[in-house]
Amino acid sequence: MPPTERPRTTLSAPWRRYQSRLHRVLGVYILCLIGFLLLMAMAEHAGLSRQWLGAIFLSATIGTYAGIGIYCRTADASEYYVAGRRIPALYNGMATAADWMSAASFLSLAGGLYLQGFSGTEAQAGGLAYVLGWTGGFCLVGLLVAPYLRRLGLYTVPDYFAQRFGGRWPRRIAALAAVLCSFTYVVAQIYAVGLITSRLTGVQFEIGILLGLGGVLVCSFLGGMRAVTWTQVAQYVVMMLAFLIPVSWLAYKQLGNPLAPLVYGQQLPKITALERQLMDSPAEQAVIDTYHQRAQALQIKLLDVPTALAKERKAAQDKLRALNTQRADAAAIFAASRELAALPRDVPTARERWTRSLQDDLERAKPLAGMPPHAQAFAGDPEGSADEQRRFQLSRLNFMALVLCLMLGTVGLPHLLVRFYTTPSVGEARRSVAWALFFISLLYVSAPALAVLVKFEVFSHLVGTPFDQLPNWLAQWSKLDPTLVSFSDVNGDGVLQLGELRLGADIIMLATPELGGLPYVVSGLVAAGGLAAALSTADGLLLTIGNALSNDLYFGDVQPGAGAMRRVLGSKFALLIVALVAAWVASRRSADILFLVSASFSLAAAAFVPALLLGIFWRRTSGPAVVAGMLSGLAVTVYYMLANTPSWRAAWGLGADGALWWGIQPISAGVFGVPLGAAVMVLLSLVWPHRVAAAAPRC
Amino acid sequence: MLADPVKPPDARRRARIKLGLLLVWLLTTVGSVYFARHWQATVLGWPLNHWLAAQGALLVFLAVLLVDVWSYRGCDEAFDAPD
Repeated sequence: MPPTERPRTTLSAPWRRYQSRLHRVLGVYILCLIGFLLLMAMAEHAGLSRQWLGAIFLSATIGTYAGIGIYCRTADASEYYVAGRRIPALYNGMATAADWMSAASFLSLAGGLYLQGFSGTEAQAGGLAYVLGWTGGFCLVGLLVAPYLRRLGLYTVPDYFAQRFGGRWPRRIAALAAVLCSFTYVVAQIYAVGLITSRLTGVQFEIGILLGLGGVLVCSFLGGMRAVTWTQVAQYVVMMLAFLIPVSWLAYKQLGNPLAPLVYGQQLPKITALERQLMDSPAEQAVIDTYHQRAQALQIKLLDVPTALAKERKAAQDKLRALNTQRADAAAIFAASRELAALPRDVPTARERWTRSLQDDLERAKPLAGMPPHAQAFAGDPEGSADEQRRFQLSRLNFMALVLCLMLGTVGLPHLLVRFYTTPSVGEARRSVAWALFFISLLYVSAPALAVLVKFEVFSHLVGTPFDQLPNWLAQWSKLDPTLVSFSDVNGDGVLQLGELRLGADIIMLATPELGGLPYVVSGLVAAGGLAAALSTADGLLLTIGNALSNDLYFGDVQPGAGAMRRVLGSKFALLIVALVAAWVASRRSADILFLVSASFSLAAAAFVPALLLGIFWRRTSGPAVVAGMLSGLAVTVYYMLANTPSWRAAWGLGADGALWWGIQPISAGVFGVPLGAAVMVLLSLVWPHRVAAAAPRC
Repeated sequence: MLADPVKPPDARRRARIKLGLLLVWLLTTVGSVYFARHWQATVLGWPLNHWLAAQGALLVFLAVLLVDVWSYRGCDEAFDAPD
């Protein structure tokens, strides 16, 4: 795809020829992709099995990405670090969009909107905060950061700290912070890769990780930024097709118009009406009462755990003994002994397990299965009782704090900023931010539409279906992973109530094709889209971490005089190691990964945003002040997160209740870190005398 | 690093536009969230607050970036050092 000539300005004739060649290649690629989909649809019609369809989808997409990687292989420093700085604004925008939209955006965003509605609750803000936060940050990137960084002609984000502030420590801290906030993020992407590949083909989770990792490594290891860029463009197209086809189909089916973002608003009042019906329904009330009874029974047991446990064990033993003496059949005896073995081993285990199911039951004993009314902004009621007013204020405050953190995190995430180093000019960098926001918005205006359409489908068709007539996909997904879907006839009336159905966030996107009655090819495409989202983000992150470790920490510090070839080799080596470590961490399936991903936005905001903005716009900002500011901002953010994490508090023997400042949830800890870091930087810069670095020409 | 000694004549104008754009960005972000509960009107079949947060704000963000690109027309290229 890349040309041999190096165009000097974006107005020259060779540059225009180069761009029109890229347009042709992209057009052919999209046509091939659509042709491939039609071919697969015909193969399915002819009777190809799902297993084979999944395997073909997996190998075709990963093969394409690997092929681009091999074609773009390079050992040249400028090609490896910044793709030779000749990516046109449009294509850099596409690559940035793919880089930006991770598995969380593709799989969980619509699901989160389905579960949380407009804004989530006061304890867990969410919903449209993610849509606003993950798009609005680009205004700051475009207006305040990207063009100025591009003007300096650097390779990495920590390079900026070395050039602007001098000394060793600013670059060291920046490189370490880049590794810190990118690593947790990359682990989550690789986890998602393992999940999707294992579902698509039925291979083991660990083998799924290795397969996906192979695709990532061939690409970023061989071709660096150059290969990653063109792969991301290819992945963006797959993602968009995979998202827009099911959404458009659902919109066409429900409203007779496939342009979902334009028409889904009509469904919102209908959903509100359905919600009211469900809240008044006696069957739903019966389900809620059952959960309340279960919760009460658990509360009584939790009052005196040792006695309750002994009583349960004795009851189970008596039952087993009675069955044995009656010479009951083997199956009944086996079931009774299984029941006995399933009891908690000791008192602490029992307490932990019962507390968890108590919380679970209380959670499910809420109207609408714990989902806030979809169209209502914020929990509580501004005109209600004192408690409701407090809940309203808290919900709105946390929503705004989350939006702010996500926006500032956007400005601070190094794997995003480095994308704007790859354009041929400052003007192209500026234009590519606008293109990136355009391409991202295409998906982000469709995600709320998908959430609303799915909710309408569930409320109006799925709820109220007799259990023996439920669609097949529900049982299939719940067998695969009960955290995605689970359902049981709680009140025993043989009909599915909303309170009896539990949907995880990721399933909304994955099951949409089946919910809309589309062929399996579309399900395969959606999985391939999720894979593309995870792989594209993982590519960019791995490159950033590898370059920070090698270019900034090792060659910047230990061997500053090393040649360009050795630097590239070192970066490739670091990338390989990081990929393997990340795969190992992901294969351990730690439960805290999701939290860590959201945390990385606060970390990136606290570490980079004050230093970048002050460094760009205030001449007096000095190196020591930046080091102190970054460290204090990071420290306060990390402290606030840890001090309010239940598992961490338990490990240190602290009380169960965290110490929240103004009721802000730990996910938005960046709202404290950023102002503190900025204040420290300003104060110390005023105190500390320093030299002004050479200025770059500007306009 | 940016405040360089030689400023082209319309740098001041661009800086003013940029400040204005930042203000628009801030008002959009805060406004679409803070008053969401109070704006319950329905416009063309859409609940206004939901439309603002889910689509309207995104359109404003895009417009902010486009105006910024427009205000730098012909300027960046003149200063680009080929590397």
